[in-house]
Parts: sequence; structure tokens; C-alpha cells
Amino acid sequence: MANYVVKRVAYAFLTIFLISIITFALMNMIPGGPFLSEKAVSPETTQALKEKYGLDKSLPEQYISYMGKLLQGDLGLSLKQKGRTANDIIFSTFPVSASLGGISILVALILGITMGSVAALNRGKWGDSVLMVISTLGIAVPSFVVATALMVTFGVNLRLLPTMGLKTPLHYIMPVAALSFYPMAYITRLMRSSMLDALNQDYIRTAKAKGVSKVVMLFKHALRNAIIPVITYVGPLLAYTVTGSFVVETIFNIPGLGREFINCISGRDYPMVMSTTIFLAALLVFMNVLVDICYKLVDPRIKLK
Amino acid sequence: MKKRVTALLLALAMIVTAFAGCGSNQSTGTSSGAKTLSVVVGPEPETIDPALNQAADVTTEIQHMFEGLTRYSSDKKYVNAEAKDIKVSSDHLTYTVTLRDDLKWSDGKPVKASDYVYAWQRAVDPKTASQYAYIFDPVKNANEIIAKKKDKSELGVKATDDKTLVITLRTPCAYFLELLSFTAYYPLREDVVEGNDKWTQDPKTYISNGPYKLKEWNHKESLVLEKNPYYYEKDKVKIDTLRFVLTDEDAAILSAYKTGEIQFAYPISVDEMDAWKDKPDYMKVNELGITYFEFNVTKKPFNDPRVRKALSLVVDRNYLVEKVTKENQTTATGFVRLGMNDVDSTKQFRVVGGDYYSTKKADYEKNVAEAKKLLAEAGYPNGKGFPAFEYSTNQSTANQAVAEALQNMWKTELGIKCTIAQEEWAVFIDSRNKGNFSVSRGGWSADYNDPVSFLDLFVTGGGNNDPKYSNTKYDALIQKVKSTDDNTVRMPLLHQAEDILIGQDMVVAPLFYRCRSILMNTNIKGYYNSPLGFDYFMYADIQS
Repeated sequence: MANYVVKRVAYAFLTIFLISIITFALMNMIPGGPFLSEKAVSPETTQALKEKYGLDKSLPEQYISYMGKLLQGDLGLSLKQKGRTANDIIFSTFPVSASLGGISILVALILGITMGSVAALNRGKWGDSVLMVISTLGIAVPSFVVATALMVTFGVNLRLLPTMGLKTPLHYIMPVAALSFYPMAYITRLMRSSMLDALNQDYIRTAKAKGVSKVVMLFKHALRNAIIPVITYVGPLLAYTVTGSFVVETIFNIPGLGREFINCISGRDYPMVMSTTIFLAALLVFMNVLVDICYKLVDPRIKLK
Repeated sequence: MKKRVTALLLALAMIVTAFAGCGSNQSTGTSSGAKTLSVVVGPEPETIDPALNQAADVTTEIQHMFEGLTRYSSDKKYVNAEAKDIKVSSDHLTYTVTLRDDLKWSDGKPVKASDYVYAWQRAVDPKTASQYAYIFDPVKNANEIIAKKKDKSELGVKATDDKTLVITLRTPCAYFLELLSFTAYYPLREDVVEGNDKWTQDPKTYISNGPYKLKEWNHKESLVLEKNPYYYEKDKVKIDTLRFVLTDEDAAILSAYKTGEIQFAYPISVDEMDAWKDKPDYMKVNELGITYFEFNVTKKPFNDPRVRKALSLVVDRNYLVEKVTKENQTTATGFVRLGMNDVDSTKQFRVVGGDYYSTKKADYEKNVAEAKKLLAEAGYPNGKGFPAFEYSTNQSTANQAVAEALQNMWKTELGIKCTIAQEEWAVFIDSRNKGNFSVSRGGWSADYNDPVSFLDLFVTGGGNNDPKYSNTKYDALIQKVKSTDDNTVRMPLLHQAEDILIGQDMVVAPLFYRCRSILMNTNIKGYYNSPLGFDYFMYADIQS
């Protein structure tokens, strides 16, 4: 186990290192630059800006200098948000995205697992059909449509919910609903099929034959086995939440990292592109390591190599 | 089991309704006597440093906190603000400014003439790397300092004592009093700004001298301003808290306006224009800007003025503003926008200069016939043999719609084919600036209210001369214009320059003059705006 963890963490660092090189190369390959505007900037001023931000050096020098600072925890100065460091921007916007994303993931997991299990237990009955319609809808409708529909209904027409920002618990309802609808639907379907699968296993029949109560059978035996595919999905779910948050954050004017991530690319804010990419990559890579370790805890049959 | 589920659902419903009760209402807070106004004028600013800013929406934000020697007043004039008196020498090269006696910073310290000297020297200092430093062009030695040929201490501005500022210009400037109201010309406090790149980030160090001061900057969310107790005209400021909600998302802006979370909304989307046009909330205000398309005059077949004229004449500009942009802007018949004064300030430059072609609906057929004739003369009768070309634009639904309309007009009327190349913003700007295009979307907003701000664009080698146009006669005219502030000399020369640029060469095809569509609650009084696209709320009030 310890060996496995060490190996995975080492691979994780290698992955992040490769991502940093690829990002740096791609970012400098795409045309355009950070100091362009509709009104042209004079060559003198462009040169002065480049010197100020160290972009007048050669690319390898820039990369090494960036990575050197990164190791000391300095993510660089934003080229577009004057006077702000990438550290400042990332660590002030990430908690916002994390709380929104975290709550959405929790909601999606809780509702998805419950709905999936309920559907499986009521297979073929009307409850199952209703849940399947909802989950099909959730998979088919993109989050920006959900967000806009919610906003128009509850924000503008009924005026029940606030439409901008993330200040009170009430502000969370619509963005969370929009962000968790798709994964909730996906988890429902996943859970339903794996639950059905689990319920047909021999050990369930044995348990039934032994006279184990329905609750114990369901939660101790069936659910624990049925939940493994859902755990596998948590990795991609994180990635979905990170990218999906861009749309939702934009619509509800939430100052989160998702919006930063896209904006810094279109603005060619090089240090921000590097820092947000590395930060999000590290987050995803380590969460996936964590998910893999969780398998072992849930299902002792799995061997970690 | 069923009962339990029902109970759970009921409990959930109760929690939700309980939350619904505590929804904070932050709209027009006239309760408890303190007045709050929430507005949207644009997204998160790149910077609120007066020297670095070049965006119109951010100018609106900054000018509520800072004030310059002059300001734009509600009766549409530039009047003295921090300046008590401005004396201009007989050669129009020296401005002697006396400051008001009651000027204070938002921390109570007096505003000194040296604060102006510091701010101006800092703005042109290459170390500051301000993209807007060129706005100091008329001030003596500014261009040399920007180009690192002289030290910033040689800038033509000196403080002879705490209240007196002597400004020396390189050349007479007809619009210098206007420039003095711009953010880059605002004074700054050396003790908080120098050596601190983050001074704009903290309300404690963002010390200002205007009607408001910074209270909070919640990044990507809002910029909250409160009344500056040290402002000399604080009694005229009626609104205690001014909130700039930071977003440019159409749907978010509109829903916030409808729910009352904001009371002033700009911009509003094209799709919503029809629904709001007839309501009392709707305002259309002119902006000194123009939308056009430009030709790369070094590329065949666009190096032939007849081709350029044909492509311009065939555009149904009325259709564009009525059906495509839906904003009913004024159709453009020249490059210098309507709304700029001529020698006689009661007459407009555009009216004196006349129309270079007619945009009357009745004349459209005639224009098309003329365009066909010109195209045939250039060797492409009915578009035969005309090479397929690309029309470049950035990714924006509004610009894409205009591009499609143009594409269609060229195809049906002239029989020429073009494809639309939609490029990401940074790529688009880069390739257009390098001349890697055939025909491209173009737009310009004046830096100051003078025709030269439009016509200066196309001098040989100019940074904004994307068409790569070069005409020695044109260059000489602009050169002459910039050496005098005598409008009786300047204006006729500017007309001659425009005659060459549009009348003779049609380097760009003007489409329509820009305007801004705004929604504002009808109980807000005392708001005004400038044609440069700045909004003024400092003397506004909310009537109950």
C-alpha cells in the first residue's frame, strides 16, 4: 500500500511537470499576445511592458524562471489584472469555486445514489420510470440551458432567488442546481444499473436466504458493491465540475476560478495560464490518486499495484 | 417508509422557504436615510490605476474617485475642477494653472501641485509602461521620455509652489483643456503609489481626491464607492454609496436590472432591444465612435480604389442598423463622426464636410448601379474574375451578423464571393495589425472630441493604420493640423484630409456611428454622460 502511494505520487509529479512544459509551449505557440488592444500599442510601450514582466527574455529562460519561482510558491504576476499576483487571484477565487463545486458534487452524489437505488429497487414501476425520465433529461440538457431556465423562472419571473454572486446560502441554490443536474442524472443511471447488477449476485441471494433484514442487505451488502462504479466516476466528475463551473460562474456572475481559467487564456495572461493550469492539473491528478486509494477501502478485493 | 419520505420532503420544503425569507434586498436603499445606487457599466477592470487605464467603462469608475484640473460638466462643456484658474500664454504653449484652495485627498491631506507633477512624470515613465502614455503627446518632451531618449524630470510640467502648476506644450493643442480631465492627467500621491504596485488593490492605499473614495473592491463582483468627506463639493453629492457591479454578461445584466438589483444597465443585448425600445427606462446615447470595415490597400484587388468604392457603395447601411444591429444607429456618410464641431462651434464637422455618398433609402439603387459600374471599370464586370477573399472579424455575435449581411450584399449585388474568417480576439487583433488580412471589421472610438482623433489613424506607419495606407499629401496635411490650435486653419485641412481618405481613396468603408443603449430607472435624476462613453453619477439622486 505505502509503495503504491509513493509510486502514484511520483507519477503525479511527473504528469504535472509534463503538463507544465506542454502548456508553456502551446501558450507561446498560439498567435496574439497579452499587450494587444483595439487601439494599437506603440513598439516602445510594448517593449517597456515586456521588460517589466520579463517577457523580453528567451523562452527557455522564461520557463526556468517561472518554474524556479513556482517551486518557492510564487505563481507570478498577472499581466492583465494589474497589481495582482496569480497566488492572490487563484487563492481568492478557488475557495469560491471549491465551495460551489464541492456542494454540487455532494448534491449530485447524494441525490444520484439515492435516486439510482430507489429506481433499481422499484424496477419497472412508475417511480423507476419517473426517475429515468428525469435522468435522461439531465444528461441531454446542457448546464447553461438549465442555468438560464432557472434564472428566468426563479430569478426574474418569480423573484424568489437572487441572480448574482454567491453571498448567502440562497445564492447557492440555482448555481448548484445547474452544476449538479448533469452529474446527478449520470450517477442515477450508473447507480441504477450497478445496483440491479448487485441485487442479482449470489451473495445477496445467500443473505436473503439467511434471513438478513432488508435494510442490512441493502446498505451493507448491495450498496457497498454497487457504489464502486460511482467512485470511479468521481474523478471525471471533478474535471466536469471544474470546466462546467466556467459557464455557471459566468451566468450567475460568481467570482470563481473557472471563469479566471478561460479568461486568462483568451487574454494571453501567460503567468495566469501556467498557474491556473498547473493548479487545476495538480488538483485533478491528486484527487484521482485519492479516488484510487478509496477503491481499496470500499472493496477489499481490489489489489493496488 | 412512505411516511418518512413525505416527512423529509416537508422538512426540506420548510428549510427552503425559511431561506427564501432571509434573501437580502440590496436594491435602491433609501431606507435609513443612506442612498445606494447600483449600476453596471462594464466588467472587472484590468486596473483602476488612473495612469494605466484606457477603457471607457473604467474611466467612469475612476472619475468618481479622482478629479483632474478640468472636468466634463452636465452642460456639455469642459470646466475648471481642481483648477481655480488656467492662464494660457499668447503663443498657446504655456498653461499656468492655479489650484483651488480647498483641495484635499480622501485621507485629509492637502492636494499639492507637486502631486500632479509626480503623476504625470510617472505616467510617461517607460518603467510604468502605460499603454495610454501617448495621451501626453502635446506635453513637451513626453514622446522623448516614452522613447527613453530623455529623463522623466524633463517633462513639460513644473510646480512653482504648492498651488501653481506650469505646463509647457510642444505644440499648440486645441483640445488640451479636455485632455486635462482624463484619468492619466489626475494627480497621485507619491507616498502611497511609489514602489507599491499593489496600491490600487487596497482601499487604504487607494487615496483619491474626487467625490467618492474606494470602500471595497470585490474582484469580479463589485467596486463599492462611498462619499469622500474631504471633497470640496461634498454637499452636492447626494448618493452615499455607489456600487459598480462588475459583469459584461448580457443575461446577468438584464436579469439584475429586472429584479431591481441594479438600477442602471449597460450594455444590453441586441436580442432585447425590441422589447425595451419603447419603455421609459430605455436611453440611446451617442458615442464618438464609428463602425466600419477596412481594406488592406497593399493587396490585390483591394489596391484599386474603384474596387474599394464598389464594395462600400453596395452596402445597404439602413438595413444593417434596422435589421442587423437593431439599434438604429445613424448611418455613416464619412469617417469623422457626426457630433464633432467645426470652426464655428454651432456647426458640425460632418455637416460642413458633407456626405461622401448618399445613405438615403431612395438612393440605394443608384449606389448599386454605381458600384457595378466601378467594378466593371476595374476589370471585374458582374464580379467575373474577382478572386474569392476573406472577411476577418473577431468572435462576437454582433460582428458576425454584420459580416454575414455584408457577405450576402456583395454576393447578390456584385456577384463576388467572400468567406468569413472568425478569429479569437487576440489572434484577430494581431493579424489585423500585421496586415495579414484582405478585408476586416474595424471600429474606432475617439480619444478626445476632435476630428484629428479619427483622421490621425491613417498616417503612414501609424500604429493603428491597419490598411497600411500611405499617402504623402495626407501625411503632410495631418502634420500641419497637429502644429497649430487655430481651428480656422485646422478644420479646412482636416476636411481636405478626409476628402483624400474617403472621397478619393475609400481606404475604409464607414458603416454607422456608434451609440450606446442603456436602461436606467426613471426615478434617477441628475445623471449625464459624455460622448466619449463616460457616465457621471456623482451629481445624481434617487427620487422616491
